[in-house]
Amino acid sequence: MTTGYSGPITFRGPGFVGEDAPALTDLQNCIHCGFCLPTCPTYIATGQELESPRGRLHLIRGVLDGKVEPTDSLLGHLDLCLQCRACETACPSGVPYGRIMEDARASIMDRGVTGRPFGWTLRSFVLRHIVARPKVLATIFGLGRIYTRSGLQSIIRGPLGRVLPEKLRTLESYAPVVGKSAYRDRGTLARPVDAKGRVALLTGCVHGELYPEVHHATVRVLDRLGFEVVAPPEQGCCGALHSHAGDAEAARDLARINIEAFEHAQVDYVLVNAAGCGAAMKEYGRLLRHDPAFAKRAEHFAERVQDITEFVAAQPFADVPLGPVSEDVTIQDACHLAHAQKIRSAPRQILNAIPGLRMHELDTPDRCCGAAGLYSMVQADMSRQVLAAKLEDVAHTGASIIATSNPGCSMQLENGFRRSGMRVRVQHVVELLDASYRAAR
Amino acid sequence: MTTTTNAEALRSLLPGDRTRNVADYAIDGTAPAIALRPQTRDEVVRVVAAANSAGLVLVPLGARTATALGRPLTRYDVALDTTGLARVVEYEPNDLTATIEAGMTLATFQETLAAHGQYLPADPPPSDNVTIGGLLATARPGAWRHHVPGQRDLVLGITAIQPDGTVTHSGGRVVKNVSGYDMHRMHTGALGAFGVIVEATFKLQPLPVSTRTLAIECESFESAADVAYRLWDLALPLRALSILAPGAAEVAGLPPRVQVLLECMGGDAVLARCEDAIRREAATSRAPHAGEVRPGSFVTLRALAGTSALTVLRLGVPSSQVAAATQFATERGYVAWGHLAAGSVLAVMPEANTIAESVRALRAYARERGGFLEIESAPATLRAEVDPFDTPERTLVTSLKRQFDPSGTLNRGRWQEDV
Amino acid sequence: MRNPFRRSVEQALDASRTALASDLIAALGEQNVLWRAEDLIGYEYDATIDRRRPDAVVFPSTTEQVSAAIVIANAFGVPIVPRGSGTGLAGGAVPIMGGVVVVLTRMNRIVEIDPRDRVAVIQPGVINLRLQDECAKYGLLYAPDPSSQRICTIGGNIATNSGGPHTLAHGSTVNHVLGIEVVLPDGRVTYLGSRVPDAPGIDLRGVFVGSEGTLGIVTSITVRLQRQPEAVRTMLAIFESIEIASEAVSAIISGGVIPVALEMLDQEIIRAVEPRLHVGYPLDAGAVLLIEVEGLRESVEADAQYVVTACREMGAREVRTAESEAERARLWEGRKGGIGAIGAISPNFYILDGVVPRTQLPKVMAEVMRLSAEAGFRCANIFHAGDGNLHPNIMFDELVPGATQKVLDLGGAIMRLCVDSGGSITGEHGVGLEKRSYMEWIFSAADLEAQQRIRDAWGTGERFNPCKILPTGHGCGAGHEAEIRQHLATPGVYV
Repeated sequence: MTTGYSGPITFRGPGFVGEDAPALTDLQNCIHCGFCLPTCPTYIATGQELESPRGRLHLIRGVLDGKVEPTDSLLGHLDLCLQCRACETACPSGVPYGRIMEDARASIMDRGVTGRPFGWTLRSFVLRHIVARPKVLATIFGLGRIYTRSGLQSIIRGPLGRVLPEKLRTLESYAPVVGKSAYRDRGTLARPVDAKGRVALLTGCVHGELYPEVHHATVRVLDRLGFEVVAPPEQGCCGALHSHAGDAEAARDLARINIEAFEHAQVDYVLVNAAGCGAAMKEYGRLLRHDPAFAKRAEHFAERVQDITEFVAAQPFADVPLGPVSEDVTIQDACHLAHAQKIRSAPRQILNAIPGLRMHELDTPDRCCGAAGLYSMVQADMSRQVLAAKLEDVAHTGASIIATSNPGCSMQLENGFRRSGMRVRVQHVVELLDASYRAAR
Repeated sequence: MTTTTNAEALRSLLPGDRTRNVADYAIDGTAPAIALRPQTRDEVVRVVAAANSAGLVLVPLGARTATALGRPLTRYDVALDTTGLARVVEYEPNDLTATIEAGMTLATFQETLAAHGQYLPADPPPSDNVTIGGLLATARPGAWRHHVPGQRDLVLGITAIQPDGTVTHSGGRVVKNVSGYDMHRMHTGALGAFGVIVEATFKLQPLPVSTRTLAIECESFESAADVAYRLWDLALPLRALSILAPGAAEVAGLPPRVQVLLECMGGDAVLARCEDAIRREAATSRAPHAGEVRPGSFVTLRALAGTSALTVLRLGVPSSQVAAATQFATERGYVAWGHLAAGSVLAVMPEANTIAESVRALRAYARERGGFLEIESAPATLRAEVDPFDTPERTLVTSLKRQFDPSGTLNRGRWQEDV
Repeated sequence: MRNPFRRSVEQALDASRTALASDLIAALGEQNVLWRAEDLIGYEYDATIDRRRPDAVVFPSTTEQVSAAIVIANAFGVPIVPRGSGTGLAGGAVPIMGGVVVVLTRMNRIVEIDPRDRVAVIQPGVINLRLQDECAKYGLLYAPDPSSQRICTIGGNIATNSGGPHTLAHGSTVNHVLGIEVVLPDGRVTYLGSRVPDAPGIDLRGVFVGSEGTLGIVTSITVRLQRQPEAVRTMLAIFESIEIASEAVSAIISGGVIPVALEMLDQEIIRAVEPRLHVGYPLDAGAVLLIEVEGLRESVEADAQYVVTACREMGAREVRTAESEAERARLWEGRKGGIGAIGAISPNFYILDGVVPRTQLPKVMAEVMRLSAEAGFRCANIFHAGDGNLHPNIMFDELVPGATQKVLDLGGAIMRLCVDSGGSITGEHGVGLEKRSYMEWIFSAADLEAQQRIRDAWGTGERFNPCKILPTGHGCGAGHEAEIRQHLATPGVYV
């Protein structure tokens, strides 16, 4: 049982600043009823008010009202939030918690280097200069690929591990297994005869590096459903992680790049197979509301963004011959699919249509796994606690595959299964559908 | 001045002749110095306050059916007969609530209510002749406790006279109320330790469309337990579900075997369904006999439990132990029967035959099972020797008594905690 | 202007506080004590936003730790305030005089469910809904179901004697609590009641339940369970106005059938709930009654028919019956999420909790609407109509100058109306801080003095959840009283 944040108290000047400050009207919606508490992973882990949505909103309101100062300690409580937005689903008053938290973080970031904790600056550096830059990212994952493929990783995780210092070994265990070649296809990816429509695919930043097979499966499925698929080469990172970290400026820059790239592609829909990215892109309208050149375009763009499961479920996907996938499967609702995009039934509709697939629901399928973007690294302890509960839940189902729809969740879960020796595979929902299509005779 | 002259002085407080024959108010063979039957709340206030300031010990009495409950009195000067206060203060049938004075008998109250198709679902021993004040002060559960709440949960508010004559109210006249401390719960079952109850408001229920009493004859206590359990699990609309030892069955007018006796309520379709369920159960458990019996069975047992010439023990045990506890008491010579859901087992024996040892044995038996034993009626000597109650927490009772009756005016000695 | 936060830090550095914190840490362990000024911010409020920061917060996991915390607080002469999930609607968990807040959420074990004896033994931090879910596995039911059941604790339910929609048939919390282990204000541990109903002697259990955390801290609870009914029928009766619906309430109940639940939702609520939750309430209705009957299949059929007929006779436009469990769940979802939904249509609102005799409902509801309109506020009603337990929710915007005071005045007027109609100032939320001044409206000075005696007998002195329930507790003298009153007049009592 942790007691939550307990760092030093440092004064960094009063209040929220800038146009990104949380709106009082958003905060007023909170009636302090506490309905969010039982759905919040950090409250469940700590049992403490200030690690709950109600507590954090209370702090943010306090800062906004000038009653408390945004000290590092207070920001620590905000930082411990996973931004899974499960509280939004539970909230009877419709408090836009995700928005408030992003605004609060953005407003702190707006204070400049001296007005915020060093960790926030560091995180923003990583996001701006590594994650948002495809070439840098490709280089790093390239090195990772060498590390994995050379066998060094398995030696370190195997016999050599015992002689490594505990700390280093733990750190290493977070590194993903980067075995497969990255997804580098751009341009037209599929062109079926008599195409029903034309859609674009977000290839993203980390996703294509780590899970190229998900993109391949997505393209094959869309091809089979009769859609022309393109991937505009100018597209980049969606900016979700930047938004979550409060780096609104960087997020806006990335949003503008993507809007232009996808506008140029002239497609009916922009499809996303990473729930976190989809959620962020659906919110581009709000992100760019203060930008006169982009406000309208962003809104129009956001309307065309769909999650791959949402899109597929709306198609007559079961009319295409489905083959058996004889597996015990459970499903983890990605937070940014279930809570941010309110999509729950689409992935289930798809899985339930697959012959031979045995579905075993988790006790709490829509509770965060602890990945939450960079959270698993920044708040490693809490992330691991949240993950442990999830692993236990998975173990109870007896499933051999867990289906999810977000690369962050996949990484976190794979990590957890590996470290705890559980023999459970992680697959994207669309991969299972692809497998079923391919098994059809 | 002597106690007698002090007591006599009370006479002049009330108009006309409110005195009664003291011999009729004897408790454990001791008669008070004076017995008074006031007609109004104000008269009660005067008597109580005067007794308090004169250092007299006053005992409020209703129908006098439960005078052997609690420890023997250590002193007894004034009998306060509450039966003169018997008005209906307020009755709004559409609200299903009624406020009445404490001296009214339950029977009279039920008659008033029955005219509107309602009733107070309480069946305390020995009969409906108890007064409302007595019903509350003793809080003795009956067979209906299977289904209905106890007195504590039916009372919405109480007006009581404190020893110094102060009139206090608690609760209210609405069915749901959490304002302030529930003093009416404190008074309920307190045997008049903290004040004289003069008025109470109750939550009422509609009278059942009709009721039917049925019995299933069983081979043994074990099979009776099984039968009773399965019936309980069917969630039938039962008002009472009891297991009777052969002796109790005989009293109830049934063949002297272990019997499961129950009362169901509802419309024709529901009663038919209950009867069907019971016959089916009887067939499954190969009960020799099952069917409707005369409705008086429960009434007879209720009267037996309220006979003050007998020693009456009430064991509280978990439901799963009711049949076994009934058997245990039977084997020790008691006439015993138990109510399944309420976990209460009544064990009755002629006073003369009762010895402290067997009471202690039964108490130990109940305690081992997480329960208790209360002496509801017994010779004074026994009640002096064995604590009639079975409550571990005494300090709080002592300090409550000190707060509410610092001079020990009311029912002195009923509680060991009395100063 | 002095910065309030800096003041808290100074207070945190205060020597006696440091000593208090270190004693608590020594007894309970560092991970179970909060004492830094910043961490205490999270315990200055409950669901009412009455605010006062405690001196320390402890999270005991055993009865012994609860007792130790109390003994230490006593030694330092600071107040003790028990707290569950902090969902109370009367300010009961707000440490208005500071002191040590004892949070019981870590004592959250379901110790035992005995389906044969139909009892459950639980720790106070168990969430109401979790107990319900566990009981359901045995086909059993723990009846009290407050609308906050998905987060409120059973310990908190005991403190306020919580009700819920099904109170109508099954009674409030006190009717279902058999025995409780309690740590008394002096740290002594005792047991009140028994595992078996109707324990002999003074009903100390009954006095404790509903005492709003002023008589001790409950550390173990034995509750009575009941079998789930064979059949349930849930109906939605649609009316043109709240007055007509109110008339129907009394008509249904006085006809000899008492539903297990009889809830009213007015137009404002329907329009707040339906667009958000899509539960199937008609947007053009003036009010709806959510009515549930249960029992044997045979009686449910007849009872439901009776309810339908009674509603039609009283002018219901339509009576719908839930055809499936899913439909039934949806109807209830709208009820349970109803209060919260008001948050989506109004910046702030003030929840009232009053009771009137059922027959007074039509008159009282008309008067509530008149008073609200006169004061210039919209009022949304969602309440336990069968019990006559009103919850008018006055909607306002705290940013409008003077609005808050007007709302508080209106709330007072509505409470007065309940009292004058033969009712009470609270049906289930409790008195807490918020309603202490209304106590004088329903109780005489002698009544209140007698209530104070209960507190004195328990030896709670001035320190056990001080200033709650009674309008003039010791230690809540005129000075404090003025401070609190002023506090109540600022954005505090509303949500």
